Amino acid sequence: MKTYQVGGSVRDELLGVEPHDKDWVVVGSSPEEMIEAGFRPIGKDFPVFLHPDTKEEYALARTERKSGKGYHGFKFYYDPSVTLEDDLLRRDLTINAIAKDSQGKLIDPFNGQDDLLNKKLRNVSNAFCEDPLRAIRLGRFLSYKHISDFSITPQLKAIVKKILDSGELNYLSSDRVFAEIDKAMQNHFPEKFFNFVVENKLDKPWLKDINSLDGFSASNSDLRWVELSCLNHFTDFDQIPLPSKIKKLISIAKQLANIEIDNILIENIDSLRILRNEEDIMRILSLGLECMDQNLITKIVLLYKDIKFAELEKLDPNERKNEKINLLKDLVSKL
Amino acid sequence: MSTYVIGDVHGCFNELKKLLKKISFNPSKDSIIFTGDLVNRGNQSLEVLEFCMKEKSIDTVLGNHDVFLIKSLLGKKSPERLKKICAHKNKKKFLQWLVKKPFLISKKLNGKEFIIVHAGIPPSWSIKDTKVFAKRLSKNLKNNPEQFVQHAWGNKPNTWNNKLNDEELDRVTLNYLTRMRFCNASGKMDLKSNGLFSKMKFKKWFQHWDLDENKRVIFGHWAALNGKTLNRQFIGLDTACVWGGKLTAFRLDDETFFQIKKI
Repeated sequence: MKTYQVGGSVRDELLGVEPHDKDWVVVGSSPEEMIEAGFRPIGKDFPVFLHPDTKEEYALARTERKSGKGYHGFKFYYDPSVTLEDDLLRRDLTINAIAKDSQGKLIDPFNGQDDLLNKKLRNVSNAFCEDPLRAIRLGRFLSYKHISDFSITPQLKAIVKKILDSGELNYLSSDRVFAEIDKAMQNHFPEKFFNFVVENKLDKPWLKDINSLDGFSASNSDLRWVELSCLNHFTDFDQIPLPSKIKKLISIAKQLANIEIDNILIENIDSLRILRNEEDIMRILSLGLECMDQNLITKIVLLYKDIKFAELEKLDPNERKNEKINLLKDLVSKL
Repeated sequence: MSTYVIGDVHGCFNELKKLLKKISFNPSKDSIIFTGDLVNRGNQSLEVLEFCMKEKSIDTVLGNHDVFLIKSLLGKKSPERLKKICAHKNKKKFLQWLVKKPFLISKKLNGKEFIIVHAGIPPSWSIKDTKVFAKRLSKNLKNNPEQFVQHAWGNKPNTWNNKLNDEELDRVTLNYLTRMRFCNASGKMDLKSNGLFSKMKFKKWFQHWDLDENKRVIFGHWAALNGKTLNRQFIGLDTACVWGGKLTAFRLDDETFFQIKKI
């Protein structure tokens, strides 16, 4: 059995960038042998294992064949006779299909190093289209600072178009799409992801009616989601399985964007739960988004915090409700 | 006859002029206090500095970038954006003016006290303590600037206690007054996080405070906050002008804000 470092980490090292985590491919082994050696199997469908100490991913060399729609319509083939080159052939881009052996020698059957030098995103083979998510993933690569100035070869552009026309994007799982967007959100140029997606019409069905972006003012990925939602008046983030933390921030941002001076509903202010959400409201306001009236919201929050809600506790429940409405009416009258 | 506090200018001279026009600043009647960081990052640090030195009615507290300028004026190397100041024939005058500037200014008006610092005040100190520590720090800077910039740099100590030696006390005081954003209730700082989130899960320094009703703390330094403290008593004036945001002035007399957008 032989192990090789493969994929993004080799690429990043060659570009002089510290890789996030290293992936490895194992040739000439079997799941039984891996488990025997202390590796922990993960993933139902793939022969992928975690190293007992480093927790890095080790995958048995495999080939893939598409056999139906969607991500699960794949057949894997792995046995000790699958070579490293067979494994590299199934990968998406030439720059991601470079392997490094334990001596540091590079195995680069598709001239990925040339493409790194010439800053080209080139597909390894026509099998690129077998996983339609790869079209969207190209945008994610562009969001990395060290890959952002790479260009896509005409042949790959044609494949992206083919994926779009096939309608296969509709069959992607929303979790996989979310993972791509969220990774892009954490990178240096998240806007390049969205602009790529818009330019190549890959926005449907996942990011309907998204606009091109100049850039984000937030440097934090949670806040970038809020910004994205505000800039695009998104209504259908429900399709994407966002973490609840981000969902909450987006829903607060939507409420804030709807507050208008001549249309203030007391319930609206009440439902903001200002005291509980103060920190989140502060974060959203700090973005300085033009879709919300910063001064008005700040004023509302400050007046709300002046209200002595503790006094209400002394009243009986019915009176408490009325008195609270009176206090909020009073607040609105001061705006 | 009004007193204005203006947030971090960072060498944005055109924006400063525009803001002064907007508030109809009259140097013979009005006065201005800056929250520090007059220089660096922007293109016209020299112009901002010369302008502030010219007017008797202008004062500033020192920010981390101003202290960095002092260090650069005393050293051999100067960063690109401060070169014009450090190579200037009046560099000695600049230095003399800067080292005499305080780290804290207190202004009483209409029964209120406005306390102006660049970054913040730790919850482990009272306002009274802070004034004493700030004064001590100014004295040490003024008396021996060379020695001060030698030892005043560094992230440690990140918490005050009464066993610190003189140099450590200078450092922690400088960190509190000119660099702090997040700290815990006992005043331990997270000096690495500069966004809206503390990697050490500390609160924002002003969120620990329960300030006397008649007091206000005015500060700059924290562009990511964009002036949003959501607390009437803590007034953040760094609204990220040099990053493409706004420059903000706050009139003490009636607690009103004035803003202009980056040109």
